[in-house]
Amino acid sequence: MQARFARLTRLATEDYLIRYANKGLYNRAQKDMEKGTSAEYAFGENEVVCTLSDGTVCTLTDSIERFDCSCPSEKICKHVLVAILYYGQHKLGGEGGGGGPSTTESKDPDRPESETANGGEESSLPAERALDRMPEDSGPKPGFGWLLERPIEELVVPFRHSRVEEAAFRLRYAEELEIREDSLLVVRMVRSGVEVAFTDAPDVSRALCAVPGAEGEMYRLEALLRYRAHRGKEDREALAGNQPSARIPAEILHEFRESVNALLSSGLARLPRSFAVRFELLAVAARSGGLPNLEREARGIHGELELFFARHVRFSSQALRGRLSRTALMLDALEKEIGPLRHAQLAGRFRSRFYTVPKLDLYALGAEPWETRSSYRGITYYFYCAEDDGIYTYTQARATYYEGAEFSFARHYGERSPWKPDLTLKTASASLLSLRAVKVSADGRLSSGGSPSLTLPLRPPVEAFDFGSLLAERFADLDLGRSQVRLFGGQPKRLRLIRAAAMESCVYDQSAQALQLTAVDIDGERLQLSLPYHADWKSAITRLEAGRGMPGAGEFRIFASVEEDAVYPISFLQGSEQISLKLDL
Amino acid sequence: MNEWERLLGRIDDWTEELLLRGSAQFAMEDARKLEQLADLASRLGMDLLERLLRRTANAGERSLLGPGDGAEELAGAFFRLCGYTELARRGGSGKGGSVDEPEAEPAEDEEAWESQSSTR
Repeated sequence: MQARFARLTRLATEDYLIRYANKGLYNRAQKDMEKGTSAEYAFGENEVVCTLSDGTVCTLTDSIERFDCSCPSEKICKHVLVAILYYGQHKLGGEGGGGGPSTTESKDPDRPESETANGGEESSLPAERALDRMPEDSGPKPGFGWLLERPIEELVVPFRHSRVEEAAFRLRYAEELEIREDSLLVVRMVRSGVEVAFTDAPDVSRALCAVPGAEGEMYRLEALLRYRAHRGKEDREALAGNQPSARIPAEILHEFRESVNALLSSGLARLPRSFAVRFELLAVAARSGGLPNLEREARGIHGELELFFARHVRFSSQALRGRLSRTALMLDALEKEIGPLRHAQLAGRFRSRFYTVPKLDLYALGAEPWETRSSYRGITYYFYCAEDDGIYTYTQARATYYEGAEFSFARHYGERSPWKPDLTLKTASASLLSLRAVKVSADGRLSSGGSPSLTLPLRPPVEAFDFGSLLAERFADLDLGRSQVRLFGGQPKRLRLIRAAAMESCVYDQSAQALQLTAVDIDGERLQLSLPYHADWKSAITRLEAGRGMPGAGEFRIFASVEEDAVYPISFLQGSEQISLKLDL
Repeated sequence: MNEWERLLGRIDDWTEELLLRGSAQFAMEDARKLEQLADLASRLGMDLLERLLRRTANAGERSLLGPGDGAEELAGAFFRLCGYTELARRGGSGKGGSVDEPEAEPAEDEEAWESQSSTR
């Protein structure tokens, strides 16, 4: 035990002890020793009894995590620290006071092994690494190879799946890492301001982190994933396959298949009403089985069947056929071995899963009101994030198919935003939002919940901001006619910010029931934009037709949705001016 | 409307009608019709579509011989055919928008979701 204990005292640098305890305890232990406290050691087979000169008795082992002390403290106490430090300073042979660092050591910014850009740190570090000072016979050096050698599925076992998912999500956002390897492997995430210290015990849950609770768990995971990624490990596929939904209960799939086949066999004309309920129950089963896409299709089938039985004009045989065939094909695929990543893609994601992002700067691009076939009405606000070259949205929506339900676009547009009480959504839709600790879903939807903080820096004019891949400098860059064809998961929206030189004409097309605008780009090419008629924005259409609401002379930008059949403009931007076509006119 | 779109339209009509009638009512007439459409597809050089159509016809004929797993095979072939035409419609000139309305679902609270979910 003596040799093992000696090893512990060598590893117990100031950094190490502060992480296991705290700075206050460490300082008090140092003060005690300066005042002359000493200790006597009695070594047993598996423990060492340390008797301090003030009468306290602690029993220590070769691990700082296992100890006992006669004082009332339940957690690590200053007596344990004194016992370790005193041994290191006075009892280690052949090195004098080299075991535990004293407070008189000077900082040395030259650190050969550490991977960090800046030399200055707030917490004082030992000038030499404890590892470099250990004599050859002092036992095994701490090894952190386990962080990279063990498979990721094994390392995340102690954690809840939702934590792992959140940590994996955060890897989308850039982070600067500072890594120091000594008796602990410390990973500092600069932008979050959080440090995680891994011990040589191959257990991520035992890593040290000052952040408590669930958040601390998430940071441990994030540090682990970032460290591995930094060292070239690709974990995404393995993590995707690790989801609970990868273990799909066979009974659910069987039931689904039975129901779909029975529906087809019987035919709609002779279908008993109970089938509608059957699919509603299947939807619930799919949800608890972790199969969001299947749940959505089942709910859709349930809805279409209800419409069919009610002889409702909105019933669409095509829609029902689509849902049934997608479900059948999805079931086929889920039963096969297609790899964990594709399995996860097929199973889908619950839309309601939100993750906290530390920092998000969003350039607002406009807002668009909409109404669906199934009588949902809402407004979607669009934002661009330069850091990840991505579009984020915020949506207000309501079902309006039942008595008394209504959704006034104008009223909701003028409502307060969920992030700042004195900021209306209308104003937000033309601003630059700088959000801290905002909740975001995997598909870029902002949550109205959580408690993010928002500031409004001055928004640069649209010509002066870098919009990355969102911007199309000329119409030829738009890639019209080529669309991404997908059977599952809905069609992706292609949003672009299009640079235009002028608006040539604006004519209402009766047969298409839409306002057709023709824009010209800097090459002289023409592009037709289409604004379909809707009672709620007919005044906007009238104004545009009369030439009002058009951008001033010179270049401007069109924020639009580029779809297979037409380009649908959402807003015009010029300098610091912005008009959301359906809402601002 | 070109030949390709006409063919897709006829397949659409047939699948819609069978869904209404029920695949248990599959008749020799249906097999004949499918074989005709398969010939058309072959003429247009659409090998995969031709195979899907003939497969559906064969599965349907087998189901006529007696109840049993013929029905499941017919269902499988039928839905593959529907899936094909849906993809073809989306990738083509038609406005094949998905009836999924992504924004229509009310956003749920994460906490509410976590309490509903029974798995760890």
